[in-house]
Amino acid sequence: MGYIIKEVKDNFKRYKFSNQVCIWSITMTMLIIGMFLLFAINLQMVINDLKGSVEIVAFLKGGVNSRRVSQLKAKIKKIKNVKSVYYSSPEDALIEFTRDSDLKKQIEFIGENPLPASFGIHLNIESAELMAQAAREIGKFDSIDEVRYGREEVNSIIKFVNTVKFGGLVLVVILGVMTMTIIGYTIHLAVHLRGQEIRVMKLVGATSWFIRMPFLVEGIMQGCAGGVLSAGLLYVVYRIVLTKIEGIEFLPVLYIAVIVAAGVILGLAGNLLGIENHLKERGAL
Amino acid sequence: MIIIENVFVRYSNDIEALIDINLKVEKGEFVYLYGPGGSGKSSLLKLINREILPESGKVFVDQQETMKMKSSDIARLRKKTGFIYQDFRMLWKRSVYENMEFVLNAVRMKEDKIFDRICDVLKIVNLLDKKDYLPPQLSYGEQRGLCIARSLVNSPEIILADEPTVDLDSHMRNEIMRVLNNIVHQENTTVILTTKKKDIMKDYSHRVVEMKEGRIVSDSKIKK
Repeated sequence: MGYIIKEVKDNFKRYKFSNQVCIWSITMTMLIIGMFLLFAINLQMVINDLKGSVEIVAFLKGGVNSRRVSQLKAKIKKIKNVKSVYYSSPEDALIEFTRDSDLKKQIEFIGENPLPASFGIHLNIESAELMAQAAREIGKFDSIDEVRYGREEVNSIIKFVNTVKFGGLVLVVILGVMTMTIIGYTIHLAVHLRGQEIRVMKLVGATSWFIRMPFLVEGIMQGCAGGVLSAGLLYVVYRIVLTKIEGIEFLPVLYIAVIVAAGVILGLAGNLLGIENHLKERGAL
Repeated sequence: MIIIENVFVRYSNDIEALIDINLKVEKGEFVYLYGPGGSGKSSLLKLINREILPESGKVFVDQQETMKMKSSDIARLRKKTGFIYQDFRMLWKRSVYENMEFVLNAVRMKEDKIFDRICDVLKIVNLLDKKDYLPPQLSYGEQRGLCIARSLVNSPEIILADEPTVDLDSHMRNEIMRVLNNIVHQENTTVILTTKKKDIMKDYSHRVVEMKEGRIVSDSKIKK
């Protein structure tokens, strides 16, 4: 163990430049992925808000007493995919309606409150079809006069959400493959520069594990340094640039841990593949 | 003991490097492989160190057939073999001391013994005062000295020396030959040394295996 620690420490000095290149490659890779994650979680919040804004409005027939209102509310809550239900009395509707001065004038012209009581219902929508199904069930209750919801609006929101999710997935795959390839080649090249040294090590009787271990520890340390640096840089970018955009939130701690762990895996895998190529080359050696 | 039976080696460029080689080297023997350049001397050393494999025939080192060795066996073979390469094969980014320390770490010598052992061997090749130098900072002769020191540092059972005295002045050449002969007598180490020149063979008792165009053409013992 003492040998490995000394080797790793000395190799960081001996191969300062190639180690720095590896660390910065991992940093940049993880920074790009971190930015994407930051974008993705904030987009998810926007999507959740959008989904939350979609609601079914069920208008009640006239003369429904408060006991019946409570019964209906409880029944609606039990319907599949219903997230929340709120009751709006004719008086509540009037207050809401008369916030607009033109509409207020029209109500004043009529001289009485023509607005019915209603339920506002929020659902966990995954498709417009599920929403229509919930609306049909609500419409079957005898005290419900009419059920309205924006079918077109729901369809476009769902289409938008699915497009963003699919686009994001495609982007993640392309970005992932691209960055992994670049980083793989960078680390591979760094190990390749030490190919002669690896061959000499084998010729003086070092076992494969004896040669491999310091490289693997170096990979872990490069990855760890790259991961931490990228998280730091991401925070700097967030503080300087992104805080100026309202509502943008930084990544949760778990995501930061994932970025550092991914950096470690990248460093380890890159070094492992690089060293294995050298350990296997030339059959007799 | 090293036994080579009916070995034939052909390189990938179709050159026949070793043809029908049969050789037996006892433990503690000092053998000169003598012959002109391209006669197969270096190939024979590499064959023993399992750096090249025969197309046919068998090679045994201490009763173990090298063709059948696993990677851990190959490492074990090389740990007990000190190879003095013509092209040195140094770890160029490591100091003289670190080049030797690496070998001792590989054979898992105890930390507290490493320093003394390296200093002892560096004294033999007059490099103790340059132990912190990097190989490129050494002269050609000193680089060769380091290569020899590295091959001796783990007290190997076999030394394979590929023209270790070439391009060295007579003093250095005599010193190296004295060191190698002492090792044979004091530690019963087997030494196989290649040379193109007869003059280095004149001072000590030895066995001379002469090679020509990939074949052994004579095998004789000379007593002093």
